[in-house]
Amino acid sequence: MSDYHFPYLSPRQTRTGEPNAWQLELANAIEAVFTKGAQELDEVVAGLNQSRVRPPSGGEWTAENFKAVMHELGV
Amino acid sequence: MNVATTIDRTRATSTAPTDQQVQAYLRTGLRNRWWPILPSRFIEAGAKPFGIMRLGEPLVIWRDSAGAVHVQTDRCPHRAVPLSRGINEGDRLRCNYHGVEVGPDGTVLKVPGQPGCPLEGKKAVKTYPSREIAGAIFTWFGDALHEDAPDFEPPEQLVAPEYSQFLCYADWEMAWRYAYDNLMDPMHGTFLHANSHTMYQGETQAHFVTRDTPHGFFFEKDGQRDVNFDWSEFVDHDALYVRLEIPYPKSGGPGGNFGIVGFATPADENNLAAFFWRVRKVSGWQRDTWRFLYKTNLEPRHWHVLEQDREILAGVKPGLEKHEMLYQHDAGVIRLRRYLAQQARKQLVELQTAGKG
Repeated sequence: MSDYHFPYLSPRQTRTGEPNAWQLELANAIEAVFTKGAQELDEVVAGLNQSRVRPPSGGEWTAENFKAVMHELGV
Repeated sequence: MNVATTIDRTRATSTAPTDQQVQAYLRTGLRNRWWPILPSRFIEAGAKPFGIMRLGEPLVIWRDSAGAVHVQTDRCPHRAVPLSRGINEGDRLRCNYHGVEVGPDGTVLKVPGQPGCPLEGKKAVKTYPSREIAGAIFTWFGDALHEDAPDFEPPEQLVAPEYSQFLCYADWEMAWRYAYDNLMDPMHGTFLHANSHTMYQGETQAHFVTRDTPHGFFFEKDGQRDVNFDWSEFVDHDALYVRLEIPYPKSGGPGGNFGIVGFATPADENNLAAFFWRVRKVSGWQRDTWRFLYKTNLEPRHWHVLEQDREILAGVKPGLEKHEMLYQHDAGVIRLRRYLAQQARKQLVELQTAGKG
C-alpha cells in the first residue's frame, strides 16, 4: 500500500513532487496575466514578457517556448 | 382471472417491502450499479493486498504482477479470515493463516496443508467484475439476480479526449446519500462556498426547475446559467453520479467552465468514498496551462471548497430526514430521494419474487 491512510484527506493528489520556486513564480505570473484579461496565446506571452519571470533558457517568452514549457509541466 | 394469478397477486402484496425496509436496504448503497471503489494509484502491481469496505461488503483488492486489478470478497474460503492479511504471490493470493491459495477468478488453487482436499478447484471466493477508468477502480455490485455486469459507458468527461481531468479522492465520515443530496442542491454554493475562488457571483435567491434527460434529470436555476453553481445533473446510467459546472474566475484562464463529475460510494452505513473528478473541456496550450496551474495553484483551492462540504456534513447518519423542513430549493433532493427509493424497492421486489430476498 502506498500513501493511503484512513481518513484520506489529502489536498495534494495530482503532483508527484513540490514545484520549485521558478515554477511557483511562473504559475502566479500566468494567473496574474489571465486576471488582467489575457485569453489568446499572444496576449499571454506578451503579459509574461511584462513580468519578472523568464523562460528556462532566459530571454523572451515566445509562443513556442511557452507552449513547450506548459506541455512539459502540464502533463 | 384464474386462481394462480390471484394467489400470485396476494403474495406480491403481502411481501411488498415497507418504507423502512427500503430505507434500510439503501443504507449501504444501491445494487446493480458500477461504483468507483479506490483510486488506481493506491494499488501497486505485486504489492500487498488491500482490505476495504464498500457497500457494506468486505473487499480485498490486489494487482497481479501483470498489472491487472482484482477485487474479491475479503474472506479466505477456509476459515473466513481476511485475505487482505495474506500475500500477493503475483498471480494469486495466499492466506496467511493456513496458506490456502486463491486465484484471480476466485478458484482455490491449493490447500498446502491437505493436498487433494475438496476445496481445491472450487470457485469459492466471490470475484467482482472490475475495470479501471480515469484513474479509479470501478466495481460492479450486482445482487443475486445480477451477478454479471453489463457494459459500463462512463461519463464522457472521464474518457473523451476533448476533456482533461484530475481525480480528487476523499474518505468522508457520513452516510453516502447526503453527499448526493449535497450535489443536487446548487443553492448551497451561494452560501457555504460564498468566499471560494469560484462561487462568489450570482443571486442569493433563485427559483429552480427540473428537466428530464434520458438517464436522469437536471435541477437548475431558472434564468441563470454560467454565473455560479447554477445546475446539477443527476445521472443513473449503470452508475449513479452527478455532473455540475462552475464558471472560473478570470485567473483560471481560457477554456470554459470548471466541471465536476461526482460519485459518493458507500463504504458502510456511516462512511463513504468520495470521487470528484475535476474536469475541463480544454485542448492544446490551454489544456497544458490549466493542468500546470491546477497542480501548482488551483488544487488546494478546490480542495478547500470540498472541505467546506465535508465539514458541514461531517458525521450525518441515516435518519436526518425526519428532522428536516424542506422548501422549493430542495426539489432536486426530494426527487433524487424518491428515485433512489423506487429503484431500491424494485430490486427488493425482484429479489423477493425470485425467492432470494
